[in-house]
Amino acid sequence: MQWFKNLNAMPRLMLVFGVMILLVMGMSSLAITKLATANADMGAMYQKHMLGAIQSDNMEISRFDIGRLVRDALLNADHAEIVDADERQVQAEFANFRSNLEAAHGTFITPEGQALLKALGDGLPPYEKSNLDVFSAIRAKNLDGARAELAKSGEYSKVIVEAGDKAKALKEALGEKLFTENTRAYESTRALMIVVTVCCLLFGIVMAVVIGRTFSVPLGLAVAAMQRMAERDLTANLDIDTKDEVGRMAAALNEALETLRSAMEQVSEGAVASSSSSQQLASASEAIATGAQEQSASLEETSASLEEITATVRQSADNARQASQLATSSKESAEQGQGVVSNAVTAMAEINASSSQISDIISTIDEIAFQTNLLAVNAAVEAARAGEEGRGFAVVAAEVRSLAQRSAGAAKEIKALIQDSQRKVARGTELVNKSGETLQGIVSSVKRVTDIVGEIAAAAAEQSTGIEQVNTAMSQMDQVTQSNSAQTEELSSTAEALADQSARLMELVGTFTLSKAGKNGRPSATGTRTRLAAAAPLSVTKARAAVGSKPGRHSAGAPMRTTALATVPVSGGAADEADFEEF
Amino acid sequence: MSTPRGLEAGHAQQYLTFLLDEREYGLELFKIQEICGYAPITPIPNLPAHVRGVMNLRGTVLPVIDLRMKFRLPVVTYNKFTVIVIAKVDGKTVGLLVDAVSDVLQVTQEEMRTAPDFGTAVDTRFIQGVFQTRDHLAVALNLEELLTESELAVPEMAAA
Repeated sequence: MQWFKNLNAMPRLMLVFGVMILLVMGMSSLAITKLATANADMGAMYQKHMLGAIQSDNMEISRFDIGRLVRDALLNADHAEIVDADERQVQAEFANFRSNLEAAHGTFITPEGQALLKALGDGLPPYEKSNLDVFSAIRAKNLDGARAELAKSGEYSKVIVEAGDKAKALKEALGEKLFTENTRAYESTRALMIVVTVCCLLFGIVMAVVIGRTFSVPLGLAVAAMQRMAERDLTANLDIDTKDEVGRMAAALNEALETLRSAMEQVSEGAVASSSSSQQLASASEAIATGAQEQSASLEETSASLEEITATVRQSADNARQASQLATSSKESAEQGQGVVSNAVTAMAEINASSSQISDIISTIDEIAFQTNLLAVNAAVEAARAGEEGRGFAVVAAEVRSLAQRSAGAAKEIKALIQDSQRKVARGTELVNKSGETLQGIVSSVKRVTDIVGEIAAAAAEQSTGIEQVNTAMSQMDQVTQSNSAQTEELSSTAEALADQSARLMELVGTFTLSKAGKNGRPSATGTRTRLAAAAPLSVTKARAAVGSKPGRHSAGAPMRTTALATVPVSGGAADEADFEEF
Repeated sequence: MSTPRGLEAGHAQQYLTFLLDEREYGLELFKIQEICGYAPITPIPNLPAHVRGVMNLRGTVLPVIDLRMKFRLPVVTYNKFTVIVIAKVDGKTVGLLVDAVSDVLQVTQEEMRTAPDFGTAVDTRFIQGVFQTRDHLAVALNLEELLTESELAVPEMAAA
């Protein structure tokens, strides 16, 4: 039967219908045959027997009419027109009779019939003649003769009547016989037809059932499977192995189910992963939020520190400015002092110059004294040489010498004074120079101080700028932190939404049965929607495991098909394979 | 020397005192021709070091002896206050470079003392004696002893 089941729908149906058609055709040909027979019989009945009966009836009627007419004529012998009319009618009747008789030759085909007809044919002329004689007699106003003719015709009519009756009876009998035959044939045919019909019916029913089952059973299975699919049970499996369209459809459905199953499993995996990821995301975003808060706090601290620094810098700048001013005034003072010093130096230089001049003059005086001394000594020498005569000269020379010595002494004193003065001036110059140097030093120091202060001021300005920049950066950071916070909140909410979606997805996927071991246990919504910070992928597992297995409606002990859902041990329940093994 | 030479008892001799390295020395006055200030000295080669050269004194060329160098005293740069004592010794005129001329003094024989030993600074041959000046001792020098050295061997130039 497998080859049958493997036929495609069309050929199979066509085959069955073909068979049915053949049967029907057979039946109808049988029926038609039988009907033809019946029809032939009916034809015979009509053509032969009914017509024959009618003809004989007609003949009889004609005979009656003739009889009536003749009698009418006889009765109305006085009325020639009536007699004529009657005669005419009689003649017409006889014509009728003849035509009927003629026609009856066609219908009375049995030898018996033929004999009767012959008898009728034989009996007719005398009858006719006698009837016509009646009319002649009537016309001849021979009423008695007419009546006598009438009585003769009556006699003659007996033959006809007899033949006519027999013919009618014959036809009746034949008709009845035919009817009976026909009835019998009908009954037998009916019986046959009934049998055949019943057979066909049975056959048809069987075939219908068979064919129907070849369709309906697989389709029913398919429907059941798809129903189960619609009810999210993806473990359905069609165990249809025929090669026809339904089989192929079942195979395709199986494939589709497999695909769907694997896809759902993957989706489930993905949902789990996404759930865990979203939890991680949520915790990460919380961490970021915390970090951002800390950062914000740090920023505030930094901001406060910066303000302090700014104040300090400002102070420092002020101090620098003050120092600069002081330095400038110092410098001015120093420069003034330098001016004074240079004036002093100039004055002392002038003093020195004067002293030098004096010194020169004193030197001149000294030289003069010296030369005078020499001259005096020379004079003394000459005087000593001159002896006595030179004594007065020696005295003079001595006096001159003493004068010279006094002069020299004075000059020496003055020189000493000058020297002292010069020393003092030198000292003074030294001091002044030193003070000049000191002032110079002060000036240069002041200059350096000014420079340094300028540097300080510049540094303070830079510090200010830097602090400004830091402030800007910090406000930027603050903004960034805030936007981070906002983003983190968004992230958090997104993560929550994601977790929700994942949970919903997992719920959704959970409603599908993906393994033969029973439903995957709907993960409780709360399991995946627990506080995102605390949720761990394991809670989902726990939730799932906690839901427990639905009471298995299948036999326990069927092999568990492990799902691809990571380490989630699918709770209990048995396989659904039993479903499809019934086919 | 027990008896200062050339000095008669009770007779005062006039001495010219001059300074040499802040020490006073004395020279007998009548041996001194004159005293002049510093004059340009022309160095002559091949002479002893303390003979500085010759000088032109009013046409007379005479050798100039640096007493500082003679007495091995530190040499100083001579300036316009340097004195050249023109002395006549044994008929030879010679100039003596001294630091300065101090005084002309009358020194009696009693005041003239015997010179102590100065060590190697001054050769005691030259020393006549020591006498007291106003505030310190002066060493009287013996010109003849001083100048009989070979330094007097100056190629005598013809006087103009």
